[in-house]
Amino acid sequence: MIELHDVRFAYPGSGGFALHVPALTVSPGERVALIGPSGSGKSTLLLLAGGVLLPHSGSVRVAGDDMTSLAASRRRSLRLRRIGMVFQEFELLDYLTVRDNIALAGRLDASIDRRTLASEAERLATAAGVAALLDRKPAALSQGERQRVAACRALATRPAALLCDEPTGNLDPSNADIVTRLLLDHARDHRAALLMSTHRHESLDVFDRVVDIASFRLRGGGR
Amino acid sequence: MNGLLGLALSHAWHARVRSSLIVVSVAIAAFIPLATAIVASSLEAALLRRADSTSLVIGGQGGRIDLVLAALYFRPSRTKSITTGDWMQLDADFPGKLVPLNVQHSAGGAPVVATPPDYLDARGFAIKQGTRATLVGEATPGRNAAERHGLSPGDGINSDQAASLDIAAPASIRLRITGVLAATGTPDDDAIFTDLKTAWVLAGLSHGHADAATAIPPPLLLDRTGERVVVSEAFVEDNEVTASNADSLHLHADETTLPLTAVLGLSLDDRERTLLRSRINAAGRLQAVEPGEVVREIMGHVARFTRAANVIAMAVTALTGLLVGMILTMSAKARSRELLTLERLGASRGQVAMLLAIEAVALTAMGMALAAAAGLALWLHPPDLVKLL
Repeated sequence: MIELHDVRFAYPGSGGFALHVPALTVSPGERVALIGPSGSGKSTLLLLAGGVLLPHSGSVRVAGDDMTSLAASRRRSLRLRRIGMVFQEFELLDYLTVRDNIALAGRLDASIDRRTLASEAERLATAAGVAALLDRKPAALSQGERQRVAACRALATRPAALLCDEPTGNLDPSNADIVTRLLLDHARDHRAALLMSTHRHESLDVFDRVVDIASFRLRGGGR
Repeated sequence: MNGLLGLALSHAWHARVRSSLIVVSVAIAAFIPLATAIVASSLEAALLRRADSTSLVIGGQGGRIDLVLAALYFRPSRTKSITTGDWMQLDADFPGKLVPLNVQHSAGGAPVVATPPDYLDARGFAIKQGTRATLVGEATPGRNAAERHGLSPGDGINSDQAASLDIAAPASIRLRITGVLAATGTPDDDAIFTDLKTAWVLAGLSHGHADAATAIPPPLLLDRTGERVVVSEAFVEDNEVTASNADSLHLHADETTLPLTAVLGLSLDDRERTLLRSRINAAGRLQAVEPGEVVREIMGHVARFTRAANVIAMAVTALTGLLVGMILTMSAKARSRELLTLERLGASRGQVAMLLAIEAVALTAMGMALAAAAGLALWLHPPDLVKLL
């Protein structure tokens, strides 16, 4: 579950920009689309939900843990093990193979069983249609294949929360559908709370709920 | 840690050109002082090993270092020769203790060391193949010289001519190989040993030819006035000492004035060495030097070179450090997006810093290992720097 309550945040030197989220809850297994114009604060909200940014006030709870009160190391560990993140620009490590990119969490946290992660990587790659590319480097993949690999990386630890920042923004409709379906199916099958920002208004009906960030109170510009 | 190590090494492999540049730079910076130390130590060991086995070197006036390098390492010398007369006088006072040596000639680039059998006995030579040279015109090469020229008993090798365009210079003489010496790990391995008389044949002071009065075909005999005989240039002197012409060998010089490079004191005790040295040096016409002292003098020069090389090595190390630092800083900057992603996914700043540090340490360690491997190879197969002295 993802719960944001009375969250307030402003970037230092942002000239008055501020984000205020009175309340936002995404239940286990629920798939929520986050919409809003560019610069409206969708990415910031996702980073707050993932504990990458800390709010000035309010609380952010993910899988029962209050991110605002956790020590940095615990927050980091939670992000690695319980939160999956997907970015618009894929952000794959170009020096690792597809297999190693998907199982990256195991390299950063010794307590994650790497053997389990490796078999999960193969299973996810098969589901995403990139099993034949497991030993290739990202440079040899198409845009759509890269984002499928990035989605697999986010799902590899079977996270309780999935935070996706415009994951289909750089993809053609066909690949966008594949990536969206992959993430939605995982959320449904593993009861993960999914919060995905998107501009694809034509496919919002696949989500359980749509939240317009404009409904939150904002001042100034945004990110 | 293992995970980060894997990540760091994967990145190092991915950026192979950059990594190679760092590894090679570190290796060069580490190898220069290492190589200098190894080469200096190897040179000192080689020089001392030889010097310690010789109590005294007696030779003509000239440079001490020149004399020792010629007598012990068979290097070309600019010191004045001493004569067989000098040697005979010394031998009368210290019978059986001194060994004369002539290293003024070469064959196939290898020094021809003309000396009595005493030298080979004193140095403890063993014969690997065939027998020792005992007659004029015979030669026994050391192991390296034999291998280099493919010599074995029954073969021959021509002496080198110092001035090939000088028609008055002694002709090249073919030396007959009777045996090959076993390896000793000393400069003796690179030399060709002959009897002293052979050196004088090579110098043109002793030669053999048919009797002009009876054996020269009349067409080649241009003029005869009493003892003076003029023969045609088509008449060829013997260029090899054989059983059939050995008896015709004769000297064209006084037996006491024949040239020697040096006389070695190989088995003198302390008293004999001190006595002989002071007597010869007091007389002033010749010089007697202790090789150990000369080697220390050479090592003094080498130490100055080593110090200069170390200063250069420090400058190279500093520049390398700067270069590697710049490359790593630029690399970290170029990877800022990737490093930010790692942090967003859950890596701590410490882990990210560790990732960069591991890669830097690993590449530095590889460079050091490369330098150590090259150093080991150099240590196992040091160059023969004595030849360069």
